[in-house]
Amino acid sequence: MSDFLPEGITINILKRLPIKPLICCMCVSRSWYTLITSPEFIATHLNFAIASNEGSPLLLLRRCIKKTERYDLYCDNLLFDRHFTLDFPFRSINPFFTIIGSCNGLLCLSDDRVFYMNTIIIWNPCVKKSVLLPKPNMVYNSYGSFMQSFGFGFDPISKDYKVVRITYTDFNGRLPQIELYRLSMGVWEDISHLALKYIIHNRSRQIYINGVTHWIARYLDGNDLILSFDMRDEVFGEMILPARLAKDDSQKCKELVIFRESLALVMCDESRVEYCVWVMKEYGDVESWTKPFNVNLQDFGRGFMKPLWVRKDGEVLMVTKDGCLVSCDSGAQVNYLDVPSCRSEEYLCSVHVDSFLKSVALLEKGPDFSDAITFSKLPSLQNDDRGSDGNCGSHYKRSDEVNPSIGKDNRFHA
Amino acid sequence: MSSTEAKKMVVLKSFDGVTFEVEESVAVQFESIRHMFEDNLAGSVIPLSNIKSEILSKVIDYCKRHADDTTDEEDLKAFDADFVKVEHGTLFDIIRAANYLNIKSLLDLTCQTVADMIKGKTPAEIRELFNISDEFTPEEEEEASIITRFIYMDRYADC
Repeated sequence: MSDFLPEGITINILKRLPIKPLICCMCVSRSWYTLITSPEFIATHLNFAIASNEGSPLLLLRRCIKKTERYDLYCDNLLFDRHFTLDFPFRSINPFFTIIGSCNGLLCLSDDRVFYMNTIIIWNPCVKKSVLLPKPNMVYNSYGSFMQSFGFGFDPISKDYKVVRITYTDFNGRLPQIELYRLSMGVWEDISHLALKYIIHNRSRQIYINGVTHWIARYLDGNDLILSFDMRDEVFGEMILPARLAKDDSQKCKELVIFRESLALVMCDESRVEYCVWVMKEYGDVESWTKPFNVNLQDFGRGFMKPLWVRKDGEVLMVTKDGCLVSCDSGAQVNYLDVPSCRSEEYLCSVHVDSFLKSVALLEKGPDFSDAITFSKLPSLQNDDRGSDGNCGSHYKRSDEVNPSIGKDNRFHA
Repeated sequence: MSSTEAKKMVVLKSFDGVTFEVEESVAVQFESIRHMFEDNLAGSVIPLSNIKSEILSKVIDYCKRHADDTTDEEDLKAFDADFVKVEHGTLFDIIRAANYLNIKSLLDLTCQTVADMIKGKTPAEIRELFNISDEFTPEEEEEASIITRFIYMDRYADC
């Protein structure tokens, strides 16, 4: 440390720096390098960023054009200004990665769109560090077909990032298998004993907020509810939805999002013309769900695909069938955003919007965690882990196709 | 404190022996020494043995301005902007005084000023600004250089 300033002051100054000048400061001195890469400083810098980010949040927009994934950051302001484009260093076997979640500047990606490749990555694009997770215990080779859902979040007490993986081999009441990965430990742990009987909607996105990951789920043929996993206590929970939202209606599309730091749900009817935004004003209080606005696009000719996000001013971001990104307000005003579009199926399926916060998380990891090394570790098509017919188990069709003895395989518990 | 009561004064003494008489309503911003004058030690002198008179006088100026409810926000912003236009050495002295006296708003202002100075500077320029001399060992230098290959990417300039 400089003999000139106490460490507390140095931290107070450095925590205010954006990422590039902060990384530059790592090369100033030995003590600054140690300080900046310490978990305590990274947490301090993160908390300062969270506090100052509230006024001008960023949105991550991912699209896939001609087999190339693009990750851009946009400002959630009136003009939806592009902030910058992230360098995407990975290559997937599937057409594109599934974005499991975004938390504290980290993105969690899984290469499982069609084939389950068991490639799960935690990536900080701003400091270009990433972690390739070890292969989960439950894979196709030993279990046959299954369906998986993921959750990704941060335990604020142990300051640890965690990934929870839920695999269903059977939808007829058998409990799912659950595995939990803690970044600090680096291994998957079987926590199937904690499983609840709810089934997460296929391809339903997860939302991490208040230290808890959430999914829309269902109990066999019952109503929809929110299934949650507390990243600190490592337990599942459930939140009832108001009757109108809980009604089992597979024609309707329901997506969880975050709206002004609250958990929210966007629901659209089967004709894709009416979109309702519901917000849980008091987190955890099921009585506090309110519908501040809805968007009716009855008079608007063009078909809409899916709601992507709710912006801070209450406009719903959507992608149209023509691949245009639009922002719709409650007065049914449709604003086309200045984002190049594409009509391909691949593009339409790949469009994903999430919140994003620039951070230096993972900076404490040594050079082994740089993405160049991770990249070489990614599986290629020649690798194992796919069924001999080339099908990797993601095509879960009917439960009677599943070998009933699957859950008893001891290797899973090894 | 009722308005009819005479204003309570607090006496502070700098490192170089200069005494300053400050209204208690201003001195309450000195979080870390508040207990000393709130314990009714009226009239006694509070020694600030690590703050020079030149710096203490600036800090008191700042606190007077910020204790005055009648100043409007724009004026206060202009005052703050002007306040930090000092030599680097003086700025760091003010930071240390603000840190010692635990004046949060002054610490925020001055630390943010230094953070803004760092932006756009090279490691060598930052070393000079902070008067830092400790060097890397070759191994550490190499580790740091792995990081530096990310630094000079123009596309991340505003990151």
